[in-house]
Amino acid sequence: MGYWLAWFVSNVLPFLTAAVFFGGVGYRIFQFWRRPRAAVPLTVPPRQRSLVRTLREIVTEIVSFRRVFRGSKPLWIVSWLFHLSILVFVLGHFRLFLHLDWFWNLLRLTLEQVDLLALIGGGTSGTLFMLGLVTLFMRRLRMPVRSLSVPSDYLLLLLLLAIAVSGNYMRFLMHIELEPYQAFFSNLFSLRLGVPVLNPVFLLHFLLVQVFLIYFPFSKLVHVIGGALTLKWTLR
Amino acid sequence: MAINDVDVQTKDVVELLGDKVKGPVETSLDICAHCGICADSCHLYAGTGDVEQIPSARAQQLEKVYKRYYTKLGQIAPRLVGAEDLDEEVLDRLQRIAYQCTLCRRCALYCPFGIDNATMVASIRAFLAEAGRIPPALEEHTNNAYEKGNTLAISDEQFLDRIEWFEEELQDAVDDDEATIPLDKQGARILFVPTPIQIMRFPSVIISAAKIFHAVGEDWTLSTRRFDGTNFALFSGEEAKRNEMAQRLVDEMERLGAKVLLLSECGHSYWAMKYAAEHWLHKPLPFKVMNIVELLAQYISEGRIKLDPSVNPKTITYHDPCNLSRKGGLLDEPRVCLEAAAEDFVELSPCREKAWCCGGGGGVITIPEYDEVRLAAGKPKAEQIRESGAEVVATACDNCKLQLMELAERYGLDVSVVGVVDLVADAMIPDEEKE
Repeated sequence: MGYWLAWFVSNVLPFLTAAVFFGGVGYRIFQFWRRPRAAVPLTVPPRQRSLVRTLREIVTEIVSFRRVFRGSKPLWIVSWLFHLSILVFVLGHFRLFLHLDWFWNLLRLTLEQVDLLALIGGGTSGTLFMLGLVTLFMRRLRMPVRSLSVPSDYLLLLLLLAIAVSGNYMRFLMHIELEPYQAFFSNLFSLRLGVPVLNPVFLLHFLLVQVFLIYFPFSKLVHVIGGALTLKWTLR
Repeated sequence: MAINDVDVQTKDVVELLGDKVKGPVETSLDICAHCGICADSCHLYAGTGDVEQIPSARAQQLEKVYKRYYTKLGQIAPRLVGAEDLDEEVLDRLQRIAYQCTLCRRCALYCPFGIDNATMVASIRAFLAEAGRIPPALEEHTNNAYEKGNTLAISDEQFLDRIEWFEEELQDAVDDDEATIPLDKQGARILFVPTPIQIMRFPSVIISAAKIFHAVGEDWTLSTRRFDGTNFALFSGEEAKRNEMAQRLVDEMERLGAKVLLLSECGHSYWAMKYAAEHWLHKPLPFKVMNIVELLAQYISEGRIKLDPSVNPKTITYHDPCNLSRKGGLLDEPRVCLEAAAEDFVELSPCREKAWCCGGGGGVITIPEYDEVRLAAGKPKAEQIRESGAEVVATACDNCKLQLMELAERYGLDVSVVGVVDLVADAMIPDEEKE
């Protein structure tokens, strides 16, 4: 039973997840793209901007979270580090999916150095991510943000927290050899149904990430997709 | 619950709701992540501490009922996503939050995604207007304007009477018996459209403007048909009336053959005609739209009028009307006027596009039931005026003036409220003294 569940999570669900995630995200992009913009111009304040200038401002907003900074400095520190940590650990996971030896050679890093870098980068980002989630969760429990929160807001944070805890558990409290995981993902990406990795913490982590990806296109996480569009409306 | 399960009357209302939300509003509702950063940017929340007044809460109230009928999750699991039935209680709440918001769009500057709350609130108003839920006092203003041509139902005789008096004042002021206030002058360059409240309560705006026009020899006129630049249907949410009111000004411009539609010290009329009218009417306007502050700044920059700032020696600050600054882009122009007309000009903090709304815009000032909320919402403005140490608050909007006067009284501010046009006119150096 445990084996078949592991097999399902590792070899069947990923295809479903990929279909829902990419299909869903594609649909949302299409949907946002197709929807009309407001009937009157929304630029505040009205100002002529070239397309290049507009794009530059959107990139600045996305990279720096300038508007959050304008509104609240403490929240800016939390949310900026939170989103930065996501970027770092998502990139870090590429070590599981790709053979990056050529890249490390290019940077003249030995494997020991890469492991150390991963420990620092992964450890720091994983910790910041977890702390960020706890802070955002606490913030949601307090007024006035509590009044704006619906159950799905809390559930999303809890789901991410479970992902963070299981990931950090593997990072800090388990000794993980990279090879079986690389082999597993390599098999998965070449559509070969292989032997699942029988690490219960990994299976839980992998399952939760898939739940997250399936929920992504239908949740408030679409702010990642559509935020640039509404930002553009206020700029041009 | 699918739309068909609700009773017939609600069904109509639900369909109306769908019409108003589909499109750009839906996008904003999807993207709002309930982060609450907008809370502290809103004068209504800052002033009242009422969580119902948070911009995102307005959006969410709309989202809750919209989801209930128009999304799968809202139909299957309303509790999970917080969907709500559209009942009487919710309609009342929607009315409150939509008509108490001043549409100032300050929150759009603070939202990480730049979501425009005013678009959403305007769509709630449009929906409520069609569902017969405009606050009665606001509806009366709109109906006056729509049926009688101006919000205060001023008759033609009354108008001519007032103009006659303004003309006498002008002649005294400039010491010239030939000075006139032109009426319906064909082919004048500028058609100046004031507001009913200026005709009845703030006549100095019109007299001062006439003095300045006289000094520069401007080719201008007033219209006996259209002396109300305001558009209260924009506030009530009645889109057809709103478009008709804009069209009337366009028609009058055409009749008189004027090149510039000059709007007075009134915020929303400028925004409406400058930025929105061409989209409402689906055609570019064949004339230029200007605000009087913009024109005065032009006169000053071009040296067509010379000002003596020592006439206005008090510490003067400027309140940015949302429709002129944040929404209208007139950030430097009023400052050009005040720097030239006043000896001691100080800024409020924050100012320009980040200025606090005074709390009186969006039509709320006409609705007596909302007086308490409106005055509470003006608290951030009152505090920043107090901190500036100014003795005079200048502004360029009737609505803001009325609100600022009430705020001064409520919060014990020792300030007088004046219009930019008056300050400029007072500081003008007569021709013979110019050298």
